[in-house]
Amino acid sequence: MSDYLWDKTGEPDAEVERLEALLGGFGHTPRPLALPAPAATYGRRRSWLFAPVGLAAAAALVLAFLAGVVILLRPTSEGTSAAASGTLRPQEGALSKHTPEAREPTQVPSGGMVKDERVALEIHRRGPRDMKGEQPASLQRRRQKPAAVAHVGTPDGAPPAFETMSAGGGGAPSLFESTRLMTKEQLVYALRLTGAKLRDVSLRTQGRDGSGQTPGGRAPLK
Amino acid sequence: MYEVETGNLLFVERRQEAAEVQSPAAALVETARAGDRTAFERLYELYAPLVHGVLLARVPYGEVSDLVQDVFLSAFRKLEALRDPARFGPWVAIIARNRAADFYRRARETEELHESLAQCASHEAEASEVLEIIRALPEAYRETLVLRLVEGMTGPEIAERTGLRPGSVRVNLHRGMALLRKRLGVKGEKV
Repeated sequence: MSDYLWDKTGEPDAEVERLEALLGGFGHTPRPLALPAPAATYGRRRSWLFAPVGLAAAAALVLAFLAGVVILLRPTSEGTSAAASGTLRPQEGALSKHTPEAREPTQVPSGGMVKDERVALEIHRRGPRDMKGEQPASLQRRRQKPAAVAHVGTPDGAPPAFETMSAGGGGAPSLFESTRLMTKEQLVYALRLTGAKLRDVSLRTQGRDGSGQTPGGRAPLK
Repeated sequence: MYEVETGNLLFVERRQEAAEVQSPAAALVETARAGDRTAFERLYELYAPLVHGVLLARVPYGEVSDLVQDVFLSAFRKLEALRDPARFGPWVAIIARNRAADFYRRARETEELHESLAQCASHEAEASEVLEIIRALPEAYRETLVLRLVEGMTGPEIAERTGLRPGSVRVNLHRGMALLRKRLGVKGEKV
C-alpha cells in the first residue's frame, strides 16, 4: 500500500504523480468572496435617511390638499347667489338642533362660506349613517320630487352626477349646494386622513430612540 | 471477514477522534457568528478547495467557480443554523452537494460542454477525459479522488475537512485509485 497516495510521503507513485500534474489545472483558484452588506447596518442607515424624506413628503401632501381646498372653496357667482337667496337656511335650522355653536350668530360678512364649512364639518362629524335619518331639508325636498331630479348621488355617498344640474327650476340651486357640501365633506375627510398620517409619522419619529428626539436633534413634532 | 476488521478499525478511530482537540474552524465559526466578516473569509480560504472539489466531482468545470461562491453565500446566511461549529466542513460540503443537485435540476443542457472540450489542446482534452472517468466512478470514490488528485489535499486533510473517518478516506482512496487505473487502462487499450 503506497503511502504517497495517502499523505504524499514515501516513494512517489508515477501514475499518481502523472494524474496530479494532469488534473492540477482544474484545482481551486483563490477568488475573493463577495459577501453581502450587513443587514442590521443597512436597515438602520435606511431608516435614518428616509425619516426626513417621509416627513417632507407628508408635508407636501398636506399642502397640496390645502391648496385644493382653497381653490374649491373659493366663492363663485353661483355659490354666492345661492347663499344670498337663503337656500341654506333649512340646513342651519337642522344644525341648530344638535350643536350649540351653531346657534351663535354668524359674524363673518361673507357668511355663506362659513356656513358651508360648518355644515360640511357637522356632516362629517356625525358620519354618513346619521345623514340617513336627518337629512338637510333640501335633500328631503329633492326626494319628494323624483321627476325634477332623476339621480342625486350613489347610495354610498359618492358625489352626484353633474348632469342633474341642468334639471332647472327651483331645485337647481339646492342641488348645487348639496354637491358642494358632499365635495367639501370628502375634502375634509381627506384632510383629516392626511393629518392622521402626519401624526403617525411624527409619532414614529419620536418613538424610535425613546428619547423624544428626532434624528437631527430637533424637537419632535407635536 | 474484511467487514469485521474494518468495523473494529473504525471503532478504534472513533474513540481516538473523540479525544481529539476541537477543530480550529469552530473558533472561526463562533467569531463569524459574532459578526466578524474576516473570520468568515478565513473559513472561505480554508474550505474553498473542499467545496470546489465536491462540486467538481459533480458539475462541469466552467460552472464550479460561481457555484463555490453561491455555496459560501448560502453558508454565510445560514451560519446560525449550524449546531456544531466544529462540523463546519461537513456542513458546507452538504450544502455543496445539494447545490450541485439543484444545478442539474435547473440546467441539464450544460452536459454538452464536455464534447466541445475535445476540440481543445490535447493536454486539456486528456485532462477532461480523465476527469470524466473520475466522475463516472461511484460517489464515495470520485469525491475523495478529486480532493486528492485535483485539489492536492492529503488523506488526513480530506478526513478532517469532510468529517469522514481517516480509515474510510484511506479505503476510498485506494479502492477508487485501483478502479481508476483499471478504467484508464481499459480506455487506453480501446484507443
